[in-house]
Amino acid sequence: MEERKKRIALTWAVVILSLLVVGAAIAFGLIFGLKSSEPVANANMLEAGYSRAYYSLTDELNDMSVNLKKIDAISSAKTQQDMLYEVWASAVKASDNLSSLSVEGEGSVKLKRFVNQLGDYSKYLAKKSESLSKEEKENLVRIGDMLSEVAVALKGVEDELTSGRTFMGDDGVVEKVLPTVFEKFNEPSVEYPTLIYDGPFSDGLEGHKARNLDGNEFTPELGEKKIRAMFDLTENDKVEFMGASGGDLKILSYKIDFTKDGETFVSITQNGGKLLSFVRNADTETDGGFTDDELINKAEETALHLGFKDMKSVWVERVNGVGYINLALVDDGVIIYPDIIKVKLSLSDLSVLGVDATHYSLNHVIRNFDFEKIGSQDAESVIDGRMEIERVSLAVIPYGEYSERLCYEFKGNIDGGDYFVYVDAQSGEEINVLYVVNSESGTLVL
Amino acid sequence: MKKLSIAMSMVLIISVFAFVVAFNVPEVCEAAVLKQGSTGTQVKTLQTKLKNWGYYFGSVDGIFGAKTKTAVISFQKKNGLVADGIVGAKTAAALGMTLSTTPTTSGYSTSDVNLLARLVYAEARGEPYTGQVAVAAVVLNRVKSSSFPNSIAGVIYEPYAFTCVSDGQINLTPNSTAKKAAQDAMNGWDPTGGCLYYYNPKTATSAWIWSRPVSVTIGSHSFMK
Repeated sequence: MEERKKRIALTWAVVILSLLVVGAAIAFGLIFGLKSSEPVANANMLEAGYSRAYYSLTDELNDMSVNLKKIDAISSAKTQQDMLYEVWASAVKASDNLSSLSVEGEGSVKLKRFVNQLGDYSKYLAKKSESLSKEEKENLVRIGDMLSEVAVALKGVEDELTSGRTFMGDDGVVEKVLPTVFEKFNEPSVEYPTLIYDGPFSDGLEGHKARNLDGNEFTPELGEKKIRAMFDLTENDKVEFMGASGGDLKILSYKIDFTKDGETFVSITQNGGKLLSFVRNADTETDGGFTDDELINKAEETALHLGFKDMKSVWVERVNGVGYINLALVDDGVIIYPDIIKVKLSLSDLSVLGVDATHYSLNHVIRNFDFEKIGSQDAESVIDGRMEIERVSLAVIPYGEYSERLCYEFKGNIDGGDYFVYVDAQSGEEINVLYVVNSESGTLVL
Repeated sequence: MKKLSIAMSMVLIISVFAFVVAFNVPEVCEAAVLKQGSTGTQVKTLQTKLKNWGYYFGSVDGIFGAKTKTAVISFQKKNGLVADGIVGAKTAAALGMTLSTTPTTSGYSTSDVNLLARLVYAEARGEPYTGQVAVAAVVLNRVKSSSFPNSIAGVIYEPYAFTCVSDGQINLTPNSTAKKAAQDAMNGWDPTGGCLYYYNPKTATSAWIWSRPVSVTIGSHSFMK
């Protein structure tokens, strides 16, 4: 009897103990399972993101290299154009995927640049809508060959992936494999074709020098003297030389400690000591109720004091207690938009909070445009007939990356919307249209 | 499961408080007020937050009605605020909301300026003002460069490009200085003269970036092309 009781008690003990163990296991699983399932899912999603970028990149590179080979055989301008637009679209996607892979190193930067440049170049060629020249075709074939090399090198990574290696982690593909693949495009043996064309990513821009860099070379001491004069500084205001930057465009940087207004950093060109820019912050909570004319006068006065003559206000904008006034050079009645200066004023007390003269200081030259070949009435016949014209003037505007054009600027109104239309004064071609967006606190040109 | 979600809401509320205490979100000082009768996207945000945290059971319709008011009152009671059912500066801060009265201003997208301001605040809030404009200018120089994505969001969210994205500081609410710095860069100011990179020599870990010549040093950041 005793024996039986003991056995029953033992059985119960075993049952209770097992239940406790199972319960603990479930609780443990729930707590840690719940806790860990989320990070695992997140990591898997990131891994999937990398995979998507990798496979799409390989696809786009292949597509581009095949399409570039096809272009070599196409003679119709229209079909070439279609194919070039396809290359452009693939390049945009490939660049996006390259960014998502975020591989560190010079090789990756160069490859990204190359892919973006190819897209830009293809778009430029497509827009030209003429048959491609022999040289252009040769360039495209060489690029196609390079891209297929990248695609093959990337394809090699697939073996690593199928053998279970992941993208993320210290030993992952992103950290350990892809940098080696991309570094090949940083070797001296890789010859990138030089692409000079009128687009933002053209190789020609790298050697593009500022046009206005004559003048004496300024020593740091001479620069300080110039800055003290520009800002009417007293002996108590401290000026500290921060260093000179190298490259084609040598810049001297200074830090000014104003006795009253805190500090700012100013940069000038080493040649000629021309002001590039400075900017500072101030409390602009209270509005001083200044009119646009007061802002314009102050901005033009400031420009003149800094040595920029004949500057006229072309735009005024008010944002968060600050007025931004854009001034352009007006030469013999022609508005020279590329030589622009921006002045930042406090709307509380009209104090000058910044000047950006980079465009003027690096760009300004005396321009010799041929006289306009067409009259303003002929130019007017080109623009949309519904436009009610308010003002016509001659203006020089930037065109493409390298050139400028002399234009008739028509300011007018179509169906209540304000527009600026630019008609080339030599060719009579409509080359740009700007639409003015009015918002509650300012007006800007888009 | 319900307990878990309550626990999670508590964690969320505590972290919101920690955030408010630690960074003292300055913008809410200028905040407007949301109360019964208010409508719009800010009310939607409010309702979504209250719903997620288990205070509101109505629909997220952007209309501040009786149900929303009850939810606000219970949120205020729980969080030691004056339980008046009106979302003012303090309640907004506790909710992690910014009720800005500043109208949208510029022709380019205001969300671009806001995102840029968040990056400036997260990356350079202790820097001199010019250094903050410089960080914003680097982002815009990257947008224009062929070696980087061609949008502000693309550049900022490029993986591992900015540490503040990895550590989550990009989600902090920027102060007015960061906003002004972003605005100046958008208007064309570039104290770096076209730089694409910067690092803090004291904390940088990436080796290859050191090989580039420094163009300009502003505050604790060295800027490079």
